[in-house]
Amino acid sequence: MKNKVVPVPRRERNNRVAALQPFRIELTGNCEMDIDGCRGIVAYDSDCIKIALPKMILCIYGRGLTIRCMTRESVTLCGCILRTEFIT
Amino acid sequence: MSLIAVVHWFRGCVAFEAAGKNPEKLLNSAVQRGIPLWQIERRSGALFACTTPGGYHQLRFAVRKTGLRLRNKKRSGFPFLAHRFRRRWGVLPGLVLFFVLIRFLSMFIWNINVTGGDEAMRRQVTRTAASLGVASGTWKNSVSLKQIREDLLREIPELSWASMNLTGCELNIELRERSLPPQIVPTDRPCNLKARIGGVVIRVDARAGFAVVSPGDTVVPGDLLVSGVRQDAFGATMLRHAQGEVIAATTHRITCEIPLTQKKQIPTGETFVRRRLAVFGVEIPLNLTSPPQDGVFTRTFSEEPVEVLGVRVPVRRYTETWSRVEEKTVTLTEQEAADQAERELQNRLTEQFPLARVVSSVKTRQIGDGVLTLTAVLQCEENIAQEEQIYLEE
Repeated sequence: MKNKVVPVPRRERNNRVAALQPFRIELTGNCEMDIDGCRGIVAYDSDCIKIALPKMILCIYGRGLTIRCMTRESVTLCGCILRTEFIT
Repeated sequence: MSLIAVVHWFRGCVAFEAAGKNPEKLLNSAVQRGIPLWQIERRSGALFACTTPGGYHQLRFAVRKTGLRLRNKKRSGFPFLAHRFRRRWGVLPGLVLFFVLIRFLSMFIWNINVTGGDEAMRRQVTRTAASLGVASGTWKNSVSLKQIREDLLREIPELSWASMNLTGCELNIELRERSLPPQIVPTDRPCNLKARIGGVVIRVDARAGFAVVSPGDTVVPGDLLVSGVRQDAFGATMLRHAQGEVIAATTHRITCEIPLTQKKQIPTGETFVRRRLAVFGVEIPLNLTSPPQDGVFTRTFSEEPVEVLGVRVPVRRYTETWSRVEEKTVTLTEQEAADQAERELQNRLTEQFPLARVVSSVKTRQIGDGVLTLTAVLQCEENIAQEEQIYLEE
């Protein structure tokens, strides 16, 4: 019996590809952070922002945190960043 | 203003507030739909952000599933401005006309600034430049500044150097007047020093040549003072370029006559003012009345440039002031006439004998036939030496 090739739905294909792509975090001092490869915002507050990354969540704690700009796969944060935490 | 702010202004900006629970859902939903968001803040439990007008329109659909309340806080940018003036159809053509006018007016020379030299020279240069085709209102491309500069130097020989620089619509002309050298004999040619005027020699300072006179000698105009020719003990002739000073005591007589009865023009106080504007050289009268035809008037004329916000524009304001005067016969007192004669005497002394130093003077005053005569005999000391070239036969 030959192995049948089952076509993978496009959405599932994109999710698998996204999960394999690494994310990138660029911190400028403690005032600005660029995150590429994110998948959305989980929680947003002026002293805590949680961002969904592939297979984990990034928590940023600070004061006066704002989102300067946001696209489908990247986000730029501004404010006084005190600490970051990865939750797997 | 950064480039991003300019782009946001042209696209339009709507600042909104989203109040309710879980505003993160709105952010994720907006991002998934491709709605641009910026300046996202969380304040007082609500979410504040900015988006484009089209993005705000789409957000109203996205916010339905999230249960948030969306409120428009501020709208700014070019689309809203254009919408406000949509009924004023003249705005766009007016804007285009404005830029076309600015471009057109910048093709002309607005002002001419002349620096260097005295006032009379600057006026002469301005008049000459106008006769050569460079004036306020001249089209920039129609003149060759290099050619105009050469013509200017040729027309006004008193100038040694002139530069013309066109900065925007302003033409700057810098001048240097020529300093004429004194008329002297070249030092490589032999010359004598002879008396310019007569007097009694006080001091002889012969730096080159051979002194012929000594202190105390009386000389008349043309007498030899320092010789450039001498024979040595062997009979050979030595030629020199005589140089030096011969200070002599000289006497000068100056007479001034002042009539005691004089006619003077006294203003009556009645004035008549006419004004006109010159725009790019075209004169526009501001008074339609003509100047007075009867009576005696003195006319003063003034010209003022016009400035707008500190920038000189090619508009000049001319003002003519006509003042009526009447002739009156004035009789001077003796003292007044004497003072006037004294002033005239000083002027003549400075004019006619600029190098003389007055040692003493004797002044006599006489009145006769209605005229005061002041005669001054001045004892002066001055350099009377004058170079005279020796011409040799070849």
